[in-house]
Amino acid sequence: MTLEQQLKDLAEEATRSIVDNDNLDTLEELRLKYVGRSGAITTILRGLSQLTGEERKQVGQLANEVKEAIQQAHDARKRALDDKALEARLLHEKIDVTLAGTRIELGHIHPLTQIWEEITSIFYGMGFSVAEGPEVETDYYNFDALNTPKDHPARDEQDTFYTNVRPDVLLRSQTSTVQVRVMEKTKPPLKVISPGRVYRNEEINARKYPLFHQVEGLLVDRDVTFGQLKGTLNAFIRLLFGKPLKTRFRPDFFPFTEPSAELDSQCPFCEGIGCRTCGGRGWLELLGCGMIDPNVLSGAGIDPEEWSGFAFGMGLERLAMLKFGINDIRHFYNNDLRFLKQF
Amino acid sequence: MKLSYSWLCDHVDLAGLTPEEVADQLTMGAFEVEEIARTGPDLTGPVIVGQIMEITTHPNADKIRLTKVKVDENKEPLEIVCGAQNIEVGQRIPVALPGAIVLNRKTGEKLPIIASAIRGVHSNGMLCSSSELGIANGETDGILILSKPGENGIALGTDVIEKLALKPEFVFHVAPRSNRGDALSVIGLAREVAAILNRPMKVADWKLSGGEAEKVFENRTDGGFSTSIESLDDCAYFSIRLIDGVKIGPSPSWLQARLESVGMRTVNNVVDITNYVMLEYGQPLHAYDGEKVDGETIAVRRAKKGENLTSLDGKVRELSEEILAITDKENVIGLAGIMGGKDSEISDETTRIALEAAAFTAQRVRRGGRLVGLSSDSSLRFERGVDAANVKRASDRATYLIQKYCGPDVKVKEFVYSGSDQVKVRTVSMRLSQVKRLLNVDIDKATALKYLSSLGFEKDGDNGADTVIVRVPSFRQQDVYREIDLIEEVCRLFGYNNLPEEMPSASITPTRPAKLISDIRSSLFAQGLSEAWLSSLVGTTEGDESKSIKVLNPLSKDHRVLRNSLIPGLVDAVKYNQDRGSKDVWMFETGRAYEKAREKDKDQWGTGVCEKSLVAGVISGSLVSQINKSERVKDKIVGQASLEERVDFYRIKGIVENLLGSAGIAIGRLRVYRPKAASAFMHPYRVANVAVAPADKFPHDVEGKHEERVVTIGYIGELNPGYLNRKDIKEPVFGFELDVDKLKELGSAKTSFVEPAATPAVTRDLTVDLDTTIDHAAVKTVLEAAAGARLIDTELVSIYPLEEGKQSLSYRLTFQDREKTLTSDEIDQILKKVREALVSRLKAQFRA
Repeated sequence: MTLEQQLKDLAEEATRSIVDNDNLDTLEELRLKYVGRSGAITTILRGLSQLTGEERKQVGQLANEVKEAIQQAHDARKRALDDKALEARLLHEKIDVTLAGTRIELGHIHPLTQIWEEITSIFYGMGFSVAEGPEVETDYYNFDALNTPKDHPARDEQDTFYTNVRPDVLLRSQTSTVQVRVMEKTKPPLKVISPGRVYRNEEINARKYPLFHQVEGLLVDRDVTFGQLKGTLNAFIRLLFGKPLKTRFRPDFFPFTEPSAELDSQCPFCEGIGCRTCGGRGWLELLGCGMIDPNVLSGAGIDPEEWSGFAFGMGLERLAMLKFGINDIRHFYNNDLRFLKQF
Repeated sequence: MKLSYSWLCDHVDLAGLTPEEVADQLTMGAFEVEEIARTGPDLTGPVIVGQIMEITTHPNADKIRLTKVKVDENKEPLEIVCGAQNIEVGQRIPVALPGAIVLNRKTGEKLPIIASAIRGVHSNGMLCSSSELGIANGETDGILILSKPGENGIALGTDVIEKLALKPEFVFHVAPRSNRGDALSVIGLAREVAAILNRPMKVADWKLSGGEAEKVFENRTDGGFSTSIESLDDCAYFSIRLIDGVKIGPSPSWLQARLESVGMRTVNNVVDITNYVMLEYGQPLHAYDGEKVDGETIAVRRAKKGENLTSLDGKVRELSEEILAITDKENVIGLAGIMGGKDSEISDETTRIALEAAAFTAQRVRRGGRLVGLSSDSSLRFERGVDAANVKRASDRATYLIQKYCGPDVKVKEFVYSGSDQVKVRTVSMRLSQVKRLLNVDIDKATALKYLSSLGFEKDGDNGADTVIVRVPSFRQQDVYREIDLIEEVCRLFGYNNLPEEMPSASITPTRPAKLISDIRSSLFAQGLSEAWLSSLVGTTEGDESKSIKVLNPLSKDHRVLRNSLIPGLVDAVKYNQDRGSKDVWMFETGRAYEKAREKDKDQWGTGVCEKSLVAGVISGSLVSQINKSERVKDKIVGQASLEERVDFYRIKGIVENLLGSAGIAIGRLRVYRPKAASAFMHPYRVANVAVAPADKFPHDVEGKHEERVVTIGYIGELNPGYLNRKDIKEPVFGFELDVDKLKELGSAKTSFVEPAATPAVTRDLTVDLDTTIDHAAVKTVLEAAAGARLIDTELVSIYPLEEGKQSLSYRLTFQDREKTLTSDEIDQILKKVREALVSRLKAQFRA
């Protein structure tokens, strides 16, 4: 048999046995057997020395082609077997992807924080800044500076806690205290909200808790009008409830604003038809507001002939109860995880 | 207050309007109508008077009878079936004809009348009982007999609904306002309604006249009582009307019905009339039994210490000089404006009445009410101010009603007064330019005057085109003083909702929200803690009691003092939740704690109180993680099931480390040390103070020394098991509390970066044997100081216990020089220094 014939036979035999092979280990044995350093090709090529130059060149070329072909057949087979082995391993690794993920359980942010942040972010967007004041206050800032002198009946309406610090030091009953502190410290124009905790001596029930939270707002500038108060609060309500709701301003009385108003919004749940939340009235009482009383301005050193302003105040708990449909204020302070986990 | 709609209609013409419309307008123009309560029957006619002409039995039923009822003199009687047994021929009775709607006598629901057949007999209507007409509640016996046979009854065909006034009554619940005492009356609200709806007030249909009724004396009389006032500051006007020959009995039913409709208890004719007039005129009155008043003078004076009075409610009231009293010759007979005395109360035997009407000063009544702990319908009105000019009119009105309804022999005697009921005229002016400035509407002078005069203000002089000058009516003296008060009146009559809406001009520089608190919340939330909002009023506090802020008038024993730490409240929240089945409780709060500010610089607000902003957290139970615990998964995914882990000190410390990171404080700046004295509620040997080193230098900067200016910001640790035991908490609880204001000062956002080093880092391990009393931090400090800046990381990899009192610590040290690659020799040199330092400073030992 000529060397050429031997090579061709070898190519055919090698290719067949490689293709038939199903095992990576024996595949490697086959590779070594045919194209390894001491494999069949090498053995055949030893016989090249007996050939003439021209023949040697031809056979040598053929041998290289055969070697390359066998190598390629081997590589292709190896890839196929690798893929198959990987496939088998992956199948073996099959898991139940519907089991829960591994994680640290997130905590929960209190609903009052959520409404607090929502309200402040809305007012930031309208150019207000945030100021805080003390919860333990003097009666001057809680009453006198807010146009509520001693013996004013409005003092009765807010059952105030007094303290052992000084006879004039109490727990503030409203965040309006911050109005005067801000006006005393900063010259107008002013555009400030002040969220915070307030205290009233009232029996605990589903609607009342001895402490709760308000957000006070204040704008003092030249030529501030009642219409600007309406515009600002209507925009706020639209953003808070995420939809345009009808509102109405009703006359009311607060010692530190005049004219004063109560702002009702169309009930966002029934859109005015009447439901459980609005007690069938179609309207929800949301907040109190008004033009800052000239006495309050001048008491804080601001000339009411030069400046005017509006103020408003709203109860955080009330808004959170409305927004989340919470029926009892005590939920906020029990800190029951079964409650908190819903937020 | 409650306002009866029919009573309102007595004073203002509301024809053509529904109660709902009036309530809406009142709400939008002045006073909120919180509720409209409806009482009385809602009947629809025809319900007319008929006479029974004939009664026969029903052919198919024993108990049902057939009647022939004449409802029109000129027409044939109607055949009507009736089940009642009390009917007789000749009676006149109410007949509901087909089309009428009456009430079901059992349920009170609407019952439409239709012509129908009852057991085969045709019926053309229904004979009505009193419950079917809504006169009585519940089932009543038989048909309402309007007149007996033979009596001269109401004419046939008369509308029964009209005749018996079987109309529904509407009662408005009007929200009162502390500044509008004038509106705590039917007439006061009628004035508002008239102004808002532009309707006329009705003229009063009564006049007190005859006998001695028109005799008026100042201070004294020849016959009856004299009056006196000690101080006009306490009482501007005081009057007594003497009325003789009174017969005490029930008041007329229409008056009783009115009082009951607004929730006022009925007593007897005289007392009901004084209450009625108080509700109508807003002027409280009091009737004394004239026979029980000792002496001839009824005086208004301050009570004396030691005096007392048994008030109408039967309680003995101790009096003092602050309380204004009504007195006779010797004794106090009433608390001025608050309540009368039991001894001079009107009884069934009373025939002589001294009717008091006065203008007591608001503050005096308020203070008196406070001191005796009494509040009444009367004091409520006096505290908000009564109109002196209205006193005599109210007294006359009550006298008129007593004359009319308290027996045939009533003799109205003289009216005696002290003080003056003249109200000083106050004029207030308003610039239309101010109206424009604040409301941005153009209101001309005529319109402004029209609004104001509808509310009782009178034009007073003229002062140019821009200014309106008005006299304030006597009943608005309490709340109208200034221009802005008039602008408010104009504003509400113009209508708040008619004012143009606009946005404020943007003349103010906006600011950015402060991030720190929300960053803190986000960090804790992401680490698994839920946020609590706790009461800042608590029962007790730990620590220095002299600094605690106590409430002088606490709501309960659980709300006596302001908290000085957030931790106890959080521990209570742990207990609350563990009791409700939550084993793993991880919670935090951001909030304030309070104590008296001893130092001036802590008294930020000038209130003598330091309000610290704190963040605190507690954890108890296990790491709250969502992991798959099934065996199948455990086999296949290594490590999955090992995540469940009880919390410990290092868990809470790790939470604080992450928290500081989110507040802009790199972990390298954290220092913890054992406090000299910890809170009583902390475990004394498992507690650490948390301090922060300055951001701008590394500790290695001070070669060999450990002197840093650290700032202590709070503490972390395990709660004292004894403390937990007292609260009946079985599980260990770990907590921390940090000062947010200090975090704010110390934290800083990164503003520059350092290029990562190009040279390699080399690690070496170092194992050192030490006494167990030596903390890791001490080793680390000595080690790092000795190694210098080339040591860039020190990691404790193991702690191995040795013989008693000794342990072996293994550190993995990472070295790097930014300028060059460190040689092995150089590192050995550093390690040599480190070993020497550890030996000399901490008595360390090294094994070969």
